[in-house]
Amino acid sequence: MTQININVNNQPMSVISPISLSELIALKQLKDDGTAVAKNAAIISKNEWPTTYLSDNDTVDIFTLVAGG
Amino acid sequence: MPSHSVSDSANSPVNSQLEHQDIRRYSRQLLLDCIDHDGQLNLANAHAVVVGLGGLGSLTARYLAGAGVGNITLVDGDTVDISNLQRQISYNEMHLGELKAKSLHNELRKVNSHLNIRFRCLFADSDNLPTLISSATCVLDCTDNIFVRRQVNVATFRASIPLFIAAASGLTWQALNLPQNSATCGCYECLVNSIAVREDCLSKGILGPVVGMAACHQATQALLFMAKGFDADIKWGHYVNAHAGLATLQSFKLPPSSSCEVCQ
Repeated sequence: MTQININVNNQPMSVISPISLSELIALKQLKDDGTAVAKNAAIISKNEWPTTYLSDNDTVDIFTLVAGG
Repeated sequence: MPSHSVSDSANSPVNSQLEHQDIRRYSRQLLLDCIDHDGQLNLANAHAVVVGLGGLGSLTARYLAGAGVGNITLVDGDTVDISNLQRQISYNEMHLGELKAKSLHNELRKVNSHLNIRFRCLFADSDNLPTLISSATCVLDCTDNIFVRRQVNVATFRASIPLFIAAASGLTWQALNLPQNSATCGCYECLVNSIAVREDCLSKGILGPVVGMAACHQATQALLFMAKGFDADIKWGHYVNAHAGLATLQSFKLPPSSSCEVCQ
């Protein structure tokens, strides 16, 4: 286990590797309803969060999908 | 001829040259390299299907008509309510209780009487969408809930018709252009699969100009595509996430999801 530095929504964050996107969402205590996640500016489908692991210097953007019109 | 010319008999006859009155009417956009003479002809021969005529569709359709999109189909089964007037700027108090599709059709005819504008007073669903979009150059998803959005995505993907999506809630607006025939771009299902999207105008509220920004973006992207086809300088398969209050705009690539049941 090693510590890695990532950037989440423009905020630096240190986490223990290995850590998946699912684990990051849980760690930040975010609701996953309506939540979309992009890793290094590419959206990761929710089905792939548990198997997508973060590396040092990765950038993560977490945002809420909207559907109104 | 436009790269996505329409052949359906319901569409207006193919225009091969601009009339003098067209050159005057569209003079400001004819100056743009991204439109020019050929692009304007392509617009005249294009067919845009606008699904949903609320805050997004009522404004988007107005821009398409103003720009000279020759064939426009307006789809919505809803009527104009007083709570719509705060943001759905093509309607006014005279339209209260009227069917949106019919009202908007009448308003757009006042803008440009030379266009072939059709309206369908029904709610789009998986049964009627294939027919509604069959001769479309592109489809604009202006609906207000994820259930219909998913159905629009499926119908356009199966027909390989480019889809321009916009959405808004609160102070956030988002948008996505999908070619619907590319191995490198995901589809709307890749984005929302397994995600319960609940943020709509009812649950979170909406400020009028915010949904207007989404509509303006959507109309811009669709017009550039209809003018120049896939040569247009627009981004496909990138999800735009903008916050109108903070004036931030992000763009994220949407790759195909290997588990997507629509595009894989």
